[in-house]
Amino acid sequence: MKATDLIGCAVYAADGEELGHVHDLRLESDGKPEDGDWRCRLTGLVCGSSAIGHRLGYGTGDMAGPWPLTSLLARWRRRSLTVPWRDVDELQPGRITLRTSRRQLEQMQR
Amino acid sequence: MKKFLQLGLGVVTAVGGFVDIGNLVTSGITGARFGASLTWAIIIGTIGMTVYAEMAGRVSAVGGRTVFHAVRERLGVRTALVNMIASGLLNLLTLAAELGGVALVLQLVTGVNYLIWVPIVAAVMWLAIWRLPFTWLENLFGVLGLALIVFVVALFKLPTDWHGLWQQTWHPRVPNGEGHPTYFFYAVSLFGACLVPYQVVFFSSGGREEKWSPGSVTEMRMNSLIGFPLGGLLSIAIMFAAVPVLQPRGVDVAHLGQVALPVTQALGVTGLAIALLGFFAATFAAGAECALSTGYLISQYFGWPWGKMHRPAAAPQFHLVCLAAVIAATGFILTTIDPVTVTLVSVVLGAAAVPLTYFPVLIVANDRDYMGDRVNRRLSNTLGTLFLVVMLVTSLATLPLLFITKAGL
Amino acid sequence: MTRKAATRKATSLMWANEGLLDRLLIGIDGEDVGMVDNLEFSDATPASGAASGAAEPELTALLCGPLAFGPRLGGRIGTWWTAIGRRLRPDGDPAPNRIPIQLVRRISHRGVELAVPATELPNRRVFDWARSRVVDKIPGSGA
Repeated sequence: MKATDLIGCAVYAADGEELGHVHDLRLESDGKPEDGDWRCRLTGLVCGSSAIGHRLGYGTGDMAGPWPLTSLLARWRRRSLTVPWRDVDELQPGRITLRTSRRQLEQMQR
Repeated sequence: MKKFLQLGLGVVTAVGGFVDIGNLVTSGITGARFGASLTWAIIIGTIGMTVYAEMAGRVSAVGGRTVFHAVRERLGVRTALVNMIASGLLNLLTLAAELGGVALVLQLVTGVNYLIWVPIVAAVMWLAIWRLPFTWLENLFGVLGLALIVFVVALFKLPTDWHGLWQQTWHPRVPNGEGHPTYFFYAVSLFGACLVPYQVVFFSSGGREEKWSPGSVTEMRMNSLIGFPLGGLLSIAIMFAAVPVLQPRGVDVAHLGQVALPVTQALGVTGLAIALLGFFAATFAAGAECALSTGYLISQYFGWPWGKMHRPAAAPQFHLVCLAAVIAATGFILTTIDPVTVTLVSVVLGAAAVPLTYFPVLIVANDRDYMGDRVNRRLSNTLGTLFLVVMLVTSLATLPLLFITKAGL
Repeated sequence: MTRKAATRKATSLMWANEGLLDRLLIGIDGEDVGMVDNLEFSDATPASGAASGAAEPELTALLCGPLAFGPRLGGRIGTWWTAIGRRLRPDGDPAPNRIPIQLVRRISHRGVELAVPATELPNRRVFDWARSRVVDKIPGSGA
């Protein structure tokens, strides 16, 4: 499986609601590469309406400005959802179906 | 002492590097047609160039990122590819203009048609890219480019109406007989001549070539914050010198030789010789920088090894791109298309394309992960954002202006 | 925003688009190797029923070169790019260049630093082509 098989896919909740497209992958690892024996797991899909904030580095990065972008993109960022990989029910080309609904996901993120 | 010399050399190089065929042509034309009423466009363009060059230099020295690494990283593969193609084509157009400029200077000196000179100039330029060490390439022509100071000298010899120039600069009005679209078309051209995208690509990649580290930030700031504004002043001097000489006679500048006319009138043949030396050095250096920039931006997009710090055999794709750029630009200018028109079109399209390159620089300069405590301060961000808005408006206005005015005719 | 990485000490978080894709690959000799064009994960079927969390795919390799870049572009240009990449390969192998994750030494602000020199990596075809066909034939290339 490649990153491009996931990024850009439309994501649907269990009840058929469209949650947007995958625009980033959440990777988790124990330690860092320099510690040796580095393993990195795909633990979640970030989906939402727009990938631009993430792309530019305003998703999680530590950005000092410029002012209109920081607040605007932080707001977009809050509107995106991270879906845990274990909630993925079915992978089809261009389409991902989840086992949970938007409500359940939003509750988990809180 | 050596440190001082080095700093001075850097500033001088930045001054010489700022002025290229775009500035020569646009300053000459506008001085003759609009007097000093368009000085504001050079001032705004120079401030923008200075702010963004400082940012790009800092990102290169501290963050280790060159412009097109940042472009690909922040804009994503697709947008960055479009960006790379647009910037590459624009570079070719600018390179063609510079080649034409050098050849025109040689025509003025020898009387031999410039088309004969174009392939020779191109071959020598490529040889310089292939063989000359980076610092030589940069410094030698930067220093020679300072010969353009002769325009400042000429200003004092000519019957310059300082009060009138001052009035027109700070209270600009569209001169009688000129339409607003034409006026703004030339404003965009002056703006674009100051802000050409290749200069920022070159400045940031040049930083890696010279192995800038976070400790080099002071040196880099000297170069950009002193050198570029002085370069802008030179552009203004060229424009002002045209006012008392070319404007009263209604000369429509269509040839590089006419730009040097005020110097000839003020200082005779010696002045002309110095001015032509300045033209030659400035356009030749800019041409080489343009070709190198094309290599830099394509190599950086694909992650290929690049730069003059490598032997050509260790960065073959980079040198292949530089060679191809020189060949393509030579072919283009040999179609006998008028070099002055090519220059005008290249600076105007450059003004339209500028946000593509500058926006990612602004973003990365704000990333604390790369920049640590060297991120943009409020001043850089305010000016940077303001200029981005100005540049966006300019870039939206560019194409309509280009068509309405039929390239300023 | 507080960083989640700081709260749970051993686990570090990363985002593919934000932190890995389109980053520069750097050999241990300091040479630029290429860009991270795509990522390869172990095939993991989505978790079914009670076996939740067990099937998280693992990052196995960083992919680079035309055959990894084409799919990133997508659309007709991407297909076209991939096709050209395939023709450049003497063996006609459609798989992109892989850099196994074990070769990653460090992920720094400069890019992804690898534990091997650039010369030992597979994605030098364009480099070799440009070098042997053009650059080495010109005097003074330093070959």
